[in-house]
Amino acid sequence: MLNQLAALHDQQQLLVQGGGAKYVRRHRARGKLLSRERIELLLDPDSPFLEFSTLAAWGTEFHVGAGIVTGMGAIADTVCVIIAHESTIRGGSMNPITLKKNLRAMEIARENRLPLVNLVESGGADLPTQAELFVPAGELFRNLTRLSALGIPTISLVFGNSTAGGAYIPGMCDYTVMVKERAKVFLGGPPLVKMATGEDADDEELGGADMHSRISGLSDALAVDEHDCLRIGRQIIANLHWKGSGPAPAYTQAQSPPYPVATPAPTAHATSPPRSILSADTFTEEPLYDTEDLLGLASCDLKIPIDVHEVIARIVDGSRFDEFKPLYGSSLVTGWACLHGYPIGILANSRGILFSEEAEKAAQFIQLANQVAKPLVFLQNTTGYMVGKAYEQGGMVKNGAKMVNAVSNSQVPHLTIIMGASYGAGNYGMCGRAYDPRFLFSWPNHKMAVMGPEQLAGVLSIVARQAAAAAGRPFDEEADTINRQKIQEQIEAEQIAFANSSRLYDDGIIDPRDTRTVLGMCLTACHMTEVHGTETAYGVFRM
Amino acid sequence: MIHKLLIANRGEIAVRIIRTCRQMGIRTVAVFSEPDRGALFMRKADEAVALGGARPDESYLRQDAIIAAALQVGGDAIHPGYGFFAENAAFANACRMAGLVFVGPSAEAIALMGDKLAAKNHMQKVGVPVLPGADLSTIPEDALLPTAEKIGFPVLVKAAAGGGGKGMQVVRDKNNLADAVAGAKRQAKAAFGDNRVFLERYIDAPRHIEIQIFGDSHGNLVHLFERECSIQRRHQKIVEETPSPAITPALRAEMGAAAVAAGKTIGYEGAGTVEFILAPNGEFWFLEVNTRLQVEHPVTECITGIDLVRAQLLVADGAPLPPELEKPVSRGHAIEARLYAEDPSSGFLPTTGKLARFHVPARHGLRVDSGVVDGDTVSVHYDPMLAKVTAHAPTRAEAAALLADSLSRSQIHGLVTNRDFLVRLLQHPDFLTGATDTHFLERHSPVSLGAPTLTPAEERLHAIAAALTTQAHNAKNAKAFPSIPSGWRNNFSAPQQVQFIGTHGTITVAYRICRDGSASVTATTQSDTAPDAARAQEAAQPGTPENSQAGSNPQAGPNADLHTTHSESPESPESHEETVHFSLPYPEQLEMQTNSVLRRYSVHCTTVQEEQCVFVDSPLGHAVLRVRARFPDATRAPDPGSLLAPMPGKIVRIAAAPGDIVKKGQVLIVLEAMKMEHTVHAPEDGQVAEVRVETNEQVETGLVLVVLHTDTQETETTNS
Repeated sequence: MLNQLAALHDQQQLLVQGGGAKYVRRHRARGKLLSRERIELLLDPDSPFLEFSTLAAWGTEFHVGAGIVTGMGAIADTVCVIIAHESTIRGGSMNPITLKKNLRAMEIARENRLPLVNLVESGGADLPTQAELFVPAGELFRNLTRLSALGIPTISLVFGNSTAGGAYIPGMCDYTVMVKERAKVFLGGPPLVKMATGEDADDEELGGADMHSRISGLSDALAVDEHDCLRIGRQIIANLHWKGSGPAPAYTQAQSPPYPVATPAPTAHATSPPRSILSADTFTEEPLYDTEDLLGLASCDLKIPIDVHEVIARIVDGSRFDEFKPLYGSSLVTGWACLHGYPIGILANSRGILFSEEAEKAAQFIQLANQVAKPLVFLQNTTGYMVGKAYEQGGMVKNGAKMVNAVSNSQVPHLTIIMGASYGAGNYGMCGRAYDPRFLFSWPNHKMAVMGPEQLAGVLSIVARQAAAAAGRPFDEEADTINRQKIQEQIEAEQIAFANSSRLYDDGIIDPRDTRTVLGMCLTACHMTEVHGTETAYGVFRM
Repeated sequence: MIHKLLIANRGEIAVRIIRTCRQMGIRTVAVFSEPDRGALFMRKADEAVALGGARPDESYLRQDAIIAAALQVGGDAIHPGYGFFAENAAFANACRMAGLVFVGPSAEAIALMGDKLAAKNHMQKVGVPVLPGADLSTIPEDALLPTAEKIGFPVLVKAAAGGGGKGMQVVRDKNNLADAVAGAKRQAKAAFGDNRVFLERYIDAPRHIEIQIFGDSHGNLVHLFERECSIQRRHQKIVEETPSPAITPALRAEMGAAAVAAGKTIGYEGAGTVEFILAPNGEFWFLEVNTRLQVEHPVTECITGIDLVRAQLLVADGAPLPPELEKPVSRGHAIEARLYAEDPSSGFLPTTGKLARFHVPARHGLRVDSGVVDGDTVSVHYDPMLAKVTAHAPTRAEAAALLADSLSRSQIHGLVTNRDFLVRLLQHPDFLTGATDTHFLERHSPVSLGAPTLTPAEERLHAIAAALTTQAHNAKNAKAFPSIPSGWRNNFSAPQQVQFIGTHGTITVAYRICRDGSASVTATTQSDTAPDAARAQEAAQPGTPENSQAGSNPQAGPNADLHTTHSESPESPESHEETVHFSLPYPEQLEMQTNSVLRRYSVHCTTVQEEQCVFVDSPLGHAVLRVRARFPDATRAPDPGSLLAPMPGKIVRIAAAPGDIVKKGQVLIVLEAMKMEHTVHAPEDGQVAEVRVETNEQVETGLVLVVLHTDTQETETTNS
């Protein structure tokens, strides 16, 4: 696990280094801040920041991180989504994976009603990949104005080039600030204008910050420098007085801690009564068990199931968990808890396999959560629904369908953590990517595929053998061995965490010890909009 | 019987008088000026009467209004405190005429002793030793020098009507005599409306010894031992003690007898003080009689256990001396230090502003006489004394130690004070051996006594404490993610960074809160002397390629510019990353362990003059850290060439007009603060562009007085 975390750290540090020392130097030589420095200054002091899709484009021809930084943090006490072009990587240009990552961040802003801040400095499309990019990229601009139409403010702070199609980022945002002598926003630069109309114009005339602030009106404020731009951006957010519409976290009252709290003895210096720094009004209970242990829990061989009670005890408030139906369908643990003060329902695979009982228990529990509008957290470690004659005859598909149905139509926010295995329809039932969880993060040890590499290769082999037999051909054992080996290696490579994260099948790989923090931030985001369950004319079906 | 007493004073002395009145069941009435509305003394009094105005002549020196106030609320006595009407015979008379008890001596005694020359002549006649001197009002100008030579240089030029150092000047060289006399006359005229001055012999290395006397209306008069007030700055007392280390029992008896004799010749009633000058050889001379309760009376009260204000009130009511005064006993040693809002490093210039916090620890043997509380504003209108802190202990050494320790543990936030100066003075070997003549502060530089208490490394520790506390408060008060770990990142790129401007320069603290709650911290001091210049430089040049390492070094700060500034610094600021364990058992109290030493830091964040400040007090000392804004506002920097008021005060003269061509060193503005005139000179040759003040205007420190266009500036402008 520590090796995996080190590998994750190494990959993420690549992102921090942007386009490499040479480009960073050049960027700074121009007196510019790096995208991450902009983000750090934009955020409130000491605000947390959850970066999304850090390993996007891992293992591809593109830079890991896909040349863009997206994430969620607090600006002027407001939970915001930030999208920043990494201008030291190919001038901040956009490739198909950049687009995907950008769109995902916008989706997070939309679903959770979070103001969106774009830190713009991009050369536009990565031209060699334009065929895959140009047409779908239109969604970027469409989404900006749709966010606005949904009443979600969008802000663009323009630090550099934002030309051609890119000009529509500031164009489509509700608020736009441009940095003097740096921001350049135009549809066509001097050479293109010359070619198109024969007009001679310099880029300041075509799209300078000063021009846009005084003449075209595209810019709402002219910032004297980058710091000023970020200051104005923070002020814009402050002026929104953005309030979440979901319920606030129900913090435990400090007056009656459920367990003895060590209170330091008053001293001669004390001028006010003793008070914990996280006191009275904002008191959350940390888990009673050490989150460090999650490293060990996650390190297990995927063939050995994790006792998910041990995981829950390390992520929920006060390690308190009220289990629902503990004696029924016990391969799937369901129950209620609080996390950073937010009441939640948890569905967690305790033994990898889902049987009919587990599927029905899940369907019932999801309905119960919807009835009282509680967000659901899925802790995935599943090898899928049970197969075999007895189970098929016992209605495994029918019962599994109940669970998939419930997950699909549940309206409460879903948060998914992939802790280990995520195979087969278990991925669906446990709210995998296709089931639109609000957020989905995974641990670095996770593996996700339709089935395990051995099984998949074996299945293919059996099918081939059957086909050969049906056709009356002799079966080439040697070729089959090689083939099996090859397929197994391919799936082995595809099912690992980095590969899945590269495809944005999750919102990022996290250190298991950060699970509680990540879920806490995600729950905060989810509660920025109303939390409601599915409306149904029926009662909760007992299954 | 006195039932209701009006206190014709303000501040700590009013509070102190009210305290005794409470003990005696006497109702109290305060009078207050507009700036004092809401002050502690006003709130402590049972009733308070508004006098209006800010200036003393509009408020505390309005004799009729004060007497009318006493009559209006049915008061039967007036206590004048010290200063204002304390030694004003006309006022004493007016009170008595109005049927009110004046708590103090007879108007005759006040009048006689109020005239320094008359007082000396009187004392000389009754055989009390006086210094040779001469009244210059009776001497023609051409006889000035011979007169001075007869007295013997050095001579002291002194205002006849003065006190408290106003219009006093020592002349050692006969060539300076005429100028000094003229200056003293001018100041005396300005301060007292009386330009009479006199000369007297000046004693080198003298001690200022005063004897507390107390008389009643039945002809009894006693002395309550001496006080030594030799340590003075600008001829004003700053540390007072009793007994004096220079006085033997025999000398005490001798001086006490002289003081009693002096008092008796004028039929003195109530509390008074006979001041003497004591030469190193034990010779002493009469200086003057203060016909009031002295500022430094607490030391006498400490060693005798007598409440002098109570005795004053009893005697004023016609009672004989209370028995404890008849046979006073001296126990232990008491030292008083006057805590002032003033800057010892710049000639004790008064400082003004909001006192964000004032807290002196409670200790056995420690007495605090103060008129201020947290949040009070120290204005230009009155004396900037914050408190008198008095330690009483069995021995002098213990009293000094108690006083120094208590002062050093006090929380005094928001203003520059003489606290560190007092602490060092009280710990100084010369002070501890009793070598305390009036030239003490000429031998021991107030600048070094008042120098910063913390080394750069210690200041950095305080900055770390400030940063970690601020961090905890930020995280706690965050509305967006209230319970998420402070500054958490899933992909760490740079530590949180905060900058403070301290005494040794700009301190940058970069920290990251680790999973176990400890912090990984780097603190650096950029020891430039002009932070504003650095700011300007940054704004102009946010980063240079050769210093930018963030690409290769993930620890680099989020502020490229700041990072650059550090790397450029010739004196490499100490910087190493260390793990700091800390906790905040109380909101303002940080326990921080660095280098395996755990210390407790009291961290107080507040806003002083629109600037975020953090005051950190610890066993190591005190740090005042101004928070450097994350987004410095370029528009707030003063225009180049602006000349700012060096201290709060009143503009007495404007010597330049817009358009004037001025030479370097030329006087442009004269302002008066704390009884002294200060001049603002042209720093360079140039032309006056603007004069932003008017004569008689009150100004605060830092206000732009004059904008000067200098030649160098022009050159710079043309070059750029």
